[in-house]
Amino acid sequence: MDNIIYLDNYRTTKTSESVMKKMKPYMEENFYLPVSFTEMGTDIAEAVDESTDRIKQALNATDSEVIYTGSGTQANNMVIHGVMRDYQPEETGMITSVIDHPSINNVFDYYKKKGFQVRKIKVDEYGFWKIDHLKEALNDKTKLVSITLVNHTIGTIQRYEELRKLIKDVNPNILIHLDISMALMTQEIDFKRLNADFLTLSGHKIYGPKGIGLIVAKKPVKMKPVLFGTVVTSPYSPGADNIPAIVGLSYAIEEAVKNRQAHNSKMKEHQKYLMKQIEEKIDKVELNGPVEERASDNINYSFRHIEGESIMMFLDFDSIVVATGSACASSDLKVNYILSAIGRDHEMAHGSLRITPGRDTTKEDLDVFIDKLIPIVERLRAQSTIK
Amino acid sequence: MAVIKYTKEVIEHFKNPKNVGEIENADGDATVGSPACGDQVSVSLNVKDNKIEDIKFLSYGCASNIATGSIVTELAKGKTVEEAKNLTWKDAVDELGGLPPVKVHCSVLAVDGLKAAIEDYEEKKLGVKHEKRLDEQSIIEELKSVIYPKTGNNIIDEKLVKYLKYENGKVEIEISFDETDVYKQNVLEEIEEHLNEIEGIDDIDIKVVEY
Repeated sequence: MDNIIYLDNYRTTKTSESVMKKMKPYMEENFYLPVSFTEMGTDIAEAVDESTDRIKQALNATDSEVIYTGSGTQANNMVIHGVMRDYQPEETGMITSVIDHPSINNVFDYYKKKGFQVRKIKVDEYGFWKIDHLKEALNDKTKLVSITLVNHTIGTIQRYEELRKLIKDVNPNILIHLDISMALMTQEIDFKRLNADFLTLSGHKIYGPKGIGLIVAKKPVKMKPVLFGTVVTSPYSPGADNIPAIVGLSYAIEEAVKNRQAHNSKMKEHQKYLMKQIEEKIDKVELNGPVEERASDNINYSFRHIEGESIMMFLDFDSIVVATGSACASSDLKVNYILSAIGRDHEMAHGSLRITPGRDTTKEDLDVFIDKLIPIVERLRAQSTIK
Repeated sequence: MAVIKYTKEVIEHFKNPKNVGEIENADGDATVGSPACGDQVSVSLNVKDNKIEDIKFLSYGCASNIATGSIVTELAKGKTVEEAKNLTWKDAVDELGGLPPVKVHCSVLAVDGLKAAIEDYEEKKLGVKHEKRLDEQSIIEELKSVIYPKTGNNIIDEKLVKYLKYENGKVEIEISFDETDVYKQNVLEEIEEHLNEIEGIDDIDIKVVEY
């Protein structure tokens, strides 16, 4: 595995060594749960409290409620279901965009089927919410707006402040849910300043463990529980908590926030370098997503006339890992909905590569990637039906 | 979880595909599929003494699309026209040591390309007219080319199609899916794609039943 050039950090990241070290005792001698005032129970309760404080400090969220979930997907589901739980379809509007993650998008689809007034805001060719469309969609029935700060495919950084103002101007009681899963590594996250009602994120996207997600909720918490059982750390997430992952997540968040500026500058350099290389050395390529207002750790190009899984497979033979928006490589064989939403035709969506460098990526890695990519694109184009 | 793995035969044919290219002024050629649907295959061939003397293919598609283009042209080469016509996608899949179920539909496209190129040859060189019958039975036959990605079998044998009626250019189909089926959209698109290619069908009405 040492020789792998890993450029798929938007899929998942490698848990950092320091995080793993902090987690380890909680899988070994400190395996208990925070369920009693015994020594064993108290030790774990303290560890959870410290983790929660660490997270609140890092995100400037001191007055908030921190809720641990099983994943980012579960966090998004719990917020949306938790807000919607007691509303009747006819009285309730809910808004997100057409390019949000399936863990938001598919939940909204579920409510649409049940008769709720679900609006998915259209985006422009770079993935920014269409303001006019949002204005038109907001009304006195709107209860919740779910926004994703950084898009997981094309890296668009949503103009959150503008959206927030617009929403709260219509009605300050409309709740805002902000998914920061892809944003925490490169964007400044200050819960007080963002002034959202809910933040959600995922551990494994930020060099933390898998199997853990997070909700940070403004107090008083404006959602209801949708899961029921024995309450250990929070009434919203009953059941035995994943203590090692909670500890790991808190350190991963702290690390990400501490190193954000340095990480962001390094990613910017990588991004600039790689984009220049691709555009200079390969013809018939197009950047998906914006140039400005784009997360520094996201690069996404379409290569005309060829299909992305083929490129991805050939790169894999050279131990380089990337992602593609091709339907052929997706689990449901659907063409990438985000690339479609920004107006890419099927051929462009199929021929797209998402390249997401990370903490361990070096300039040499990017050089190897480019050197390998060029002949792959050439040979696939030579044997393609499309010229 | 379904295994997402290509056999070494698939990898080999993907890495070093045989018969890549285009024969100029070929006796028969055809392009099937479309970039909009994700994959496209062109097959061109020359026939001598009723045998497929030379055959080449081009592919816009994924690894299994390229590998099946390679294997299908290999299988067809040297065969009589009749033998080549009788090649099925199952032959191609077997020869490749199997394909993940979600990739079986790619092999159908390559075989369709071969058959269309042979038909083109028969029309151009032998003056054979391929008149297609259009009735419920022929539509069912066509739908046997639509593969259910979960299992790798066609949707007719999978009994997904619950009702089918053809009358005056209009096809009515009722098809059922589990609520959690992720392949619903893909199957519906494939059905439309196949039916749109049949001359004489101008109205397609697909009713989806979820359970």
